[in-house]
Amino acid sequence: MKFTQENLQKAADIGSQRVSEAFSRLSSSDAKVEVSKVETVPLKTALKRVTPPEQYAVAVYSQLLSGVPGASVMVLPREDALALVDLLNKQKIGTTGILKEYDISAIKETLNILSNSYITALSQNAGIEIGVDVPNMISAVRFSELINNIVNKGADKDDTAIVFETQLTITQHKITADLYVLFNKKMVELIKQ
Amino acid sequence: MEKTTKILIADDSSFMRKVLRDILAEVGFKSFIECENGNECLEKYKSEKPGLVLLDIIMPEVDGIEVLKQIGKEAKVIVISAVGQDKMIEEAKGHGALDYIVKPFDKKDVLAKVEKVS
Repeated sequence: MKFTQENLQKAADIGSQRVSEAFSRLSSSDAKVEVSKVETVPLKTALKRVTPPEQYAVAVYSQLLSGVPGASVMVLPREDALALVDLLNKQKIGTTGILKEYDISAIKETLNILSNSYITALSQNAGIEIGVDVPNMISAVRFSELINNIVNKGADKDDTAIVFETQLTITQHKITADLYVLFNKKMVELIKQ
Repeated sequence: MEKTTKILIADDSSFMRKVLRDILAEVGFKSFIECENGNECLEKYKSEKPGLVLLDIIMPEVDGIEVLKQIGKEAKVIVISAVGQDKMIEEAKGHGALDYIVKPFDKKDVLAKVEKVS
């Protein structure tokens, strides 16, 4: 398979569709794909892109298990994370006020399921074997430092990264989640072999 | 499957363990053991002797595939994992998993596959 921008975008669209279906099933609500794109950008740009914009945003990440540095990241505004927990627990929106251990587990599992749905689509369409490690939740303050360390293992600072981005919305409850799957230059080299 | 069957649920997500427990409790299963990594799963399998194991793949310490390598030939195991790639499914079944359910799952599918195991 030729890994052109067109083919990567096709894989991204299929991945986003799968994620949307998974999100709908998890939340028992209709989830819509608002954004589905893939770009090759400088690594610094990629890292900036996945860093959550709000101080109190919730960030969940998993390292990719493919022998190549990469990560899967989900970010949500805090209010949307609380609403998502209510949906997952089949509670009235507004019930959860503070995230407890069980609620954090629910959000991490959401990233786990969404990431794997996306990665499965990528693997099937691009012919790449990729796995996703156990998810972790982190504060927005420490997030960019950690992602920088993960993605930079063996890569130069000026490397490029492939960023797959999906933005999902559960329209009925106005919940928005951004999912990123991020690879650095080593991944590009493997793809081109 | 008898509703008195002891079921071992191995998943690092407390949320997912509860979801599975609730689905099975709703239809009458009463005896559950839980663990959050592969090491605990192997210990509890030996000590509790469950009639069915619901096993996640990606877990800390020891993963589900390693657990299957050790107990897959003797235990009744259904893998329930977010990993949906054909290669993983084949590997799990190759090590003795009786069935494989990809998350997010349909409640009816879980119940049907548990009932099928006998």
